[in-house]
Amino acid sequence: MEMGSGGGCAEESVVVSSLVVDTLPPQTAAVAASLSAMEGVEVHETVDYKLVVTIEADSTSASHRIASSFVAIPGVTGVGLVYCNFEDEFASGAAGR
Amino acid sequence: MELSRRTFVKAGAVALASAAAGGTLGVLPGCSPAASSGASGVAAGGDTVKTVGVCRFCGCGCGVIVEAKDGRLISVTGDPDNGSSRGLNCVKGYYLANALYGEDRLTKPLIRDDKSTKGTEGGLREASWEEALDLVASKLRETWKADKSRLAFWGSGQQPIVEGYATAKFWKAGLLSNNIDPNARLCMASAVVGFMNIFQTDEPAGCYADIDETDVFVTWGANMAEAHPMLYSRLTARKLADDKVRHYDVTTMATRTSASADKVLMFRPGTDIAIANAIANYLIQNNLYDKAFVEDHIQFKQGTENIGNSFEDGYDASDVGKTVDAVENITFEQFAERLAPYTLEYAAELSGVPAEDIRELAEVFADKSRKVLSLWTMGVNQHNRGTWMNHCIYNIHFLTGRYALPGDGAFSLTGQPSACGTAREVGTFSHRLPADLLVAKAPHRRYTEAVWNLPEGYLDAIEKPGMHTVKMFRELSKGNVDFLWSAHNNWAVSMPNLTRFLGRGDEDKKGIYDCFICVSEVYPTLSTQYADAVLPAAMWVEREGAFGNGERRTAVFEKAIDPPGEAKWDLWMLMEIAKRVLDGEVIGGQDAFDTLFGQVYDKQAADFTGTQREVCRALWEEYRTFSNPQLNPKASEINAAEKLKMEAKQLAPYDLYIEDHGLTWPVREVDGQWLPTLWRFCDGPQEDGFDQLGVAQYGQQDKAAGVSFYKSADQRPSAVFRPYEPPAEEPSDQYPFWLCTGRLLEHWHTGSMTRRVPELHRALPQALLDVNPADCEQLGVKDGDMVRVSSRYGSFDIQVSTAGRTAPPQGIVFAPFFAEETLVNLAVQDVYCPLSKEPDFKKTCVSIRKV
Repeated sequence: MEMGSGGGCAEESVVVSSLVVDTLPPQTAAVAASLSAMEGVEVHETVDYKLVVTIEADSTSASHRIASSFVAIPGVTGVGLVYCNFEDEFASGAAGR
Repeated sequence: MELSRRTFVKAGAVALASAAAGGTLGVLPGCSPAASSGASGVAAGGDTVKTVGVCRFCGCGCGVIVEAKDGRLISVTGDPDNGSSRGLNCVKGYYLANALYGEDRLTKPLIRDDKSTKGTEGGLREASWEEALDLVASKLRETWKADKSRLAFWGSGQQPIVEGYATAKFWKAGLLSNNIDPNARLCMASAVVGFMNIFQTDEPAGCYADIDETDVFVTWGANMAEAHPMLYSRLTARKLADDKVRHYDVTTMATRTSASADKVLMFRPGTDIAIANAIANYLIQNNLYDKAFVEDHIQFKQGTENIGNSFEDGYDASDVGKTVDAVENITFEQFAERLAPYTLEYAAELSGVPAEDIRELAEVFADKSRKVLSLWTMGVNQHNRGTWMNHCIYNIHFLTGRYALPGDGAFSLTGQPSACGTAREVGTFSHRLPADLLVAKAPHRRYTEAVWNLPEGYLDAIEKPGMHTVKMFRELSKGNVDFLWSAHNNWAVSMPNLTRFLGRGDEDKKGIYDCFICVSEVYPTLSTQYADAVLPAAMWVEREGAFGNGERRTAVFEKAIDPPGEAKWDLWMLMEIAKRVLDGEVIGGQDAFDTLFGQVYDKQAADFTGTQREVCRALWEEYRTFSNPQLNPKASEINAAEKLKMEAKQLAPYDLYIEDHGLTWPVREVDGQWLPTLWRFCDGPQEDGFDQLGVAQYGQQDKAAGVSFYKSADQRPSAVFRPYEPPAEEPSDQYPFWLCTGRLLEHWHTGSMTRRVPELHRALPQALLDVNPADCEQLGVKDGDMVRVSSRYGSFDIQVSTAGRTAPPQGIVFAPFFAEETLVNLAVQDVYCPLSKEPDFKKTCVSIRKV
């Protein structure tokens, strides 16, 4: 949790990450639908059998849990992390929890 | 995070992922991840700094752009400009920052006053750096002066390159000791000895791009899906891109890798050599081999056989132990004769793999209309005949003309970020000097003396190789090592036969307590529980460093933030200890320390002579002289006179590795441009990644397949016949199961970094023993039961799983080695491959009973 610089009200701590999820071609759309149904997960683009996905969660740990669950979705063959912003989690100098 | 900022960050995240996927959302002004030295970032409002980095974990060597603000990391991005990973990381990337920010980071030096507290969580007290350095240096100097055969350094494939280089220089030239070895001995020594025996050069000819180019994957003893996730995802991408691409998995158990293979050849442990020989034999008997390639490129050999096993401490010095490296030339016909007994039926009988499946794989190799790529990891290397099995795989590739060509190759994948760049390339093995040079060869010592500015003959004192890793710990347990310094590793978890090495057995109980052990570490580990002194180290991007990954790619990670508390750069610790130990010593009439390190360290000031960038650059430029003899007239002369071909592994000037986000060696200067090499020994345009300059300088351009093995003796790599010899121990009534150990995705190595992370810990909180359901029934145990696993070495307790990540067949059980509370290595044999001295972690015979 980080205090906002202006009014002093607490803002939501969020970790934003983006991934490329590889799928089996016949199941690409089904995987996209499954991912979109997950909380904090959005599918932004389908490039052949690859999905461009973001996760918004309250920590890197929660983000990792969500990303790791993707491999259990039928049709997912790989999960690659592209970007992870955790400025709320560590920038304040708090320990990494 | 404010809403507007969140929207902005998310838009950037989408743009980066789209670019990595080859999509259309990647063009977003201001969101390029591109970083160069100290470039200002934009993602957090322009007051952040982005630096170039490489992932800290496995051997894939994925590029990472690191962003920091106010001394803390705030984001990581897969580096699209890194040729090994092309913008992607695996899910371990989430924890690159967490691994730095664990609550129990070591921030002060620690000293143990009472040796009887070793092996407990207590007994260490805080100390000043001065006190800790004085203590460690005095113990090292004392041992060195009394008997330098009783000191040792155990390093790592996680040690950054220039630090490894400086350590090797201090140990070999400063202390005149070869008692230095890395933990890479535990993971790729068999691949190394294979390379040296076969090619006389320690390097893979291929690169990761072969994965994108091949038509058939053959994984041998490799669980890439768990251990090399990004390379495995490249493999699956290749399969998806072309439905004719096939994957054969040659394994002892079903894994996540075999789950996606088209065909699994499941063999009885140790019989992979019989399978490989049967394939080679089939190719020859059926006239399916590539005659032109064999005729132009290959020489044939056989070596010492019936070499027994290294159960006893005296094995290396025994009659057979002394002859294991011997080989003799034979003709192709003799080679074929030696293979002749390996019929499909004989291999099937030994291995349990149907003869028809072995024939099918042989036909795959025979079909020259398609490319074949062999990939292997620890199943091949951690093998009582690990070096031999490396030979057998290359034999097949040589017979079919499939080596050093795009998509056609054989590749031993590495497990640590700098097992190649540091452990192998800078000479931290007990028998090596930098750049493949060997202590035992006089011209190699002369060349090293020239680069290090030592008097001629100075290194003759280290002509004899020192203790390899297992010997080091065997001698330590017997009380024959008085000083051990370990860094970038966690030997108290990763070594085999820990019952003996931690003094927990009936014999050899004193050595671990009597020896003075210094551990450089970032977190408390089981190894620090046995340390007399603990030196808190800066970690990953808390200092500048470089790694060299499995495809010959050297990449620099820049310093992004300061280390916590009093934690220090390992190189500073080394300089301070070297300064104290070498105080008053001379080399060739000059001050010893200044001769070795005066160019980067001012001992009076107790500090480096420049910034970290300048220090790394200076040490790199010195190290680079080994592969650029023209930079040193004396070295140049020796290189020419002794035909050392040192330019063959040419490295580029330091700053280019930052500017270019990593380069694969040899890197060649062409018209002022430094061009990397992807396909070694393969003729073709240098600008397309082929080894044009190397072949032109030393090789021949008109040979079969357009390749030229110019570093090999007579320009011919060796196909060496190696027979099937059984595992060190076979299951018996007393120990009826094979125990195989390995790595799983979430926890890297001994878990000292990844297990700081609560979520990762939750995902895989404890080590489980994967057991076949039929074996469970026979043992009277079920999923979740605790069992005691015992071998003739020791025992450990562990929970049984029948729904684990691997599915072993009856008679085999699997456990990961990351968990120090389970400590599976208490029971794992320390028998090693007699040639490479790499332990066999895959075939310990054990009993299992319910507790």
